[in-house]
Amino acid sequence: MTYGSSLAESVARSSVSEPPLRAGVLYVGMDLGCYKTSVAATNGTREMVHSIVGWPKDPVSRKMLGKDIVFGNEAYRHRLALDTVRPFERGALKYVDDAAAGIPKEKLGRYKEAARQLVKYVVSLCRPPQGTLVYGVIGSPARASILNKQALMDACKGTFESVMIVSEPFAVAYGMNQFEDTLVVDIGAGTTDLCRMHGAIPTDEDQITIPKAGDYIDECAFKLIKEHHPAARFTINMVRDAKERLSFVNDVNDKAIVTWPNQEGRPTSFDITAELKEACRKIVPDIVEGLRGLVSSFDAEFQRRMLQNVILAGGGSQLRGLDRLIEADLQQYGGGKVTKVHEPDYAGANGALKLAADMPEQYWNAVD
Amino acid sequence: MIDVEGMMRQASTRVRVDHLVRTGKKYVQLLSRATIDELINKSVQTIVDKHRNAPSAARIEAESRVEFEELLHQYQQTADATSAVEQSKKMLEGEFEEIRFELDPEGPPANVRTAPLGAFEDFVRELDRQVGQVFRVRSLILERSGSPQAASELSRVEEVLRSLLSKLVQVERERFAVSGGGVREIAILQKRLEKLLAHIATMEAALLTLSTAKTFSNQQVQNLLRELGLVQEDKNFEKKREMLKIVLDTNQGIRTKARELAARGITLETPEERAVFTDATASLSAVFSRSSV
Repeated sequence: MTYGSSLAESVARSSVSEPPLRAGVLYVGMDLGCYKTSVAATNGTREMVHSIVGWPKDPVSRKMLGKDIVFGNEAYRHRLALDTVRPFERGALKYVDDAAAGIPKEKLGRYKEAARQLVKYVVSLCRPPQGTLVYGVIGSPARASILNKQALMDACKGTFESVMIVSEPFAVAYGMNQFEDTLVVDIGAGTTDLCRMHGAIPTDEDQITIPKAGDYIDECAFKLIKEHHPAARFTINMVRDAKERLSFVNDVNDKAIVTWPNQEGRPTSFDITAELKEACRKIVPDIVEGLRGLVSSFDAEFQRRMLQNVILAGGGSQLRGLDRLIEADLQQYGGGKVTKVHEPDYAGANGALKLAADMPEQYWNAVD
Repeated sequence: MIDVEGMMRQASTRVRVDHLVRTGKKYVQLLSRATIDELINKSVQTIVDKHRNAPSAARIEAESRVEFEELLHQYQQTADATSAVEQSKKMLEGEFEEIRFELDPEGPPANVRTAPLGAFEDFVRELDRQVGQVFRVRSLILERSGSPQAASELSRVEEVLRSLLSKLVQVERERFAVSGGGVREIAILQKRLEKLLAHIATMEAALLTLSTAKTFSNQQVQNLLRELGLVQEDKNFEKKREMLKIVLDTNQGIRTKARELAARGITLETPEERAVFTDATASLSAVFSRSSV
């Protein structure tokens, strides 16, 4: 009889793997997205806001808004009255240098300040009681550089007592307890991150970041609609809104019809089904190619198993029919099975929160 | 040597041949006493040799040791489980004491259940009784002294005083009502106390079972610990632990390397390194061969 060992392990596990959450500490998981930021905390808070910070343009707008700085959804709503900054747009701070993100040098300070303020605002949404320590795990693009990760940490200074950075797809996998034979595809606004999980923490070789995601689809759709419907008057935000409400990539009889103003300013219906579908489909070849790359460079014995467990996460995964389209494209590599996470917008934040809650106390002290 | 011949003589019975024939036994197989003697001696010798030789003794010793170690291991694990339960019980008792102190820093636990609002109303009634008694006594004294003016003056003073007291009581009552959250908190604390007490009782029962039972089965102990909430099975425990350690190391590495880069004047504004993009047309091998800074 050898029950002793299993007994000891289980008793020890109860104290190590599930550390009792410390009183006076709020654990936060955050997915700082290029377009939207989601956050989850151990006090049950879950929020999602636009990643945008705005300063009133003039005394009139300041008086109207009644504040010197506006965040998130409110800033998005009043963006015309504000000097807005999307601190992570086009991957700024998160995964490219400032020149690549198109940030002029003189505005860099503003972007960094916006990032810092946004993090502070998002944490305040979690309502940490006065005097509570805030420990957080933040998701970053899979292949972000050291400088980008440091920039994220800098943005968190003063808000978190201690913070750790993990790759976004890894956070998704951790949140779902998918540690083996899994391929995670996290489609955000700025980047699509791919990650293979094989029982150990993914290294650089296990991850790919593709700079084609939601924003890229919006830009493509914008160009295509402009080309095919010259009479329509619209902005990129209107295209994004239409994409979020109406997009699908599979062959169904649904129609994407929007009512936008025409040249004379009269509301007119435009059928943008073909343009949206074409734009949405543009990210698929890169995803499939990335998946193929990750699978083919892996142990041949486990390749089939990995392809049978492809998980789609992030806002981009909500495109209807995307899972089936990727499955169809994977047929050329012997087929695969693609599933979507239940809460695409919160999958990253939930995983990050789970990591934060599992993290032993001494680890937080080691990085603060 | 064993006296086989003598033993056989003692143990055997003499039977006549015609008796055997009568019972239907026509053929009899014969075995000489000497052969029987030899066979028995040989088998005894074999058994004795088997148990005497060195390898068998060593094996018996080894097996005994293994058995002993296993028993010792089981004992230690059971002791560990007992200690875990005891530790949990102590923690619960500590928490219990803290809550009890929060509820009533001075009084005994029995006072915890006193309803504060009821106590306040009791106080108001007592105050009213005392005031009434004081004025009744004074009024009697003044009546006896034959001063009706003084008595009426006292009655007016009582009226004013009662009005003032009434206002005061009203203010206090409102203050008490505003701090209704405190009452709710106390109710919650009381519920937690009850739950903790129930849990401690379960712990004690479990400890008793662990310390008095003579034999355990793994299943029994596991069930016991599960009921107490001490077992939380996580099949990914080892992987998670390793991963968390690597996350820590990676984050420490990021900080160290970022400091080094900053010292060399490399920042996001003036980067020498770039993030890695993967394009449909880009070669994946280039991506895999690169190690990001």
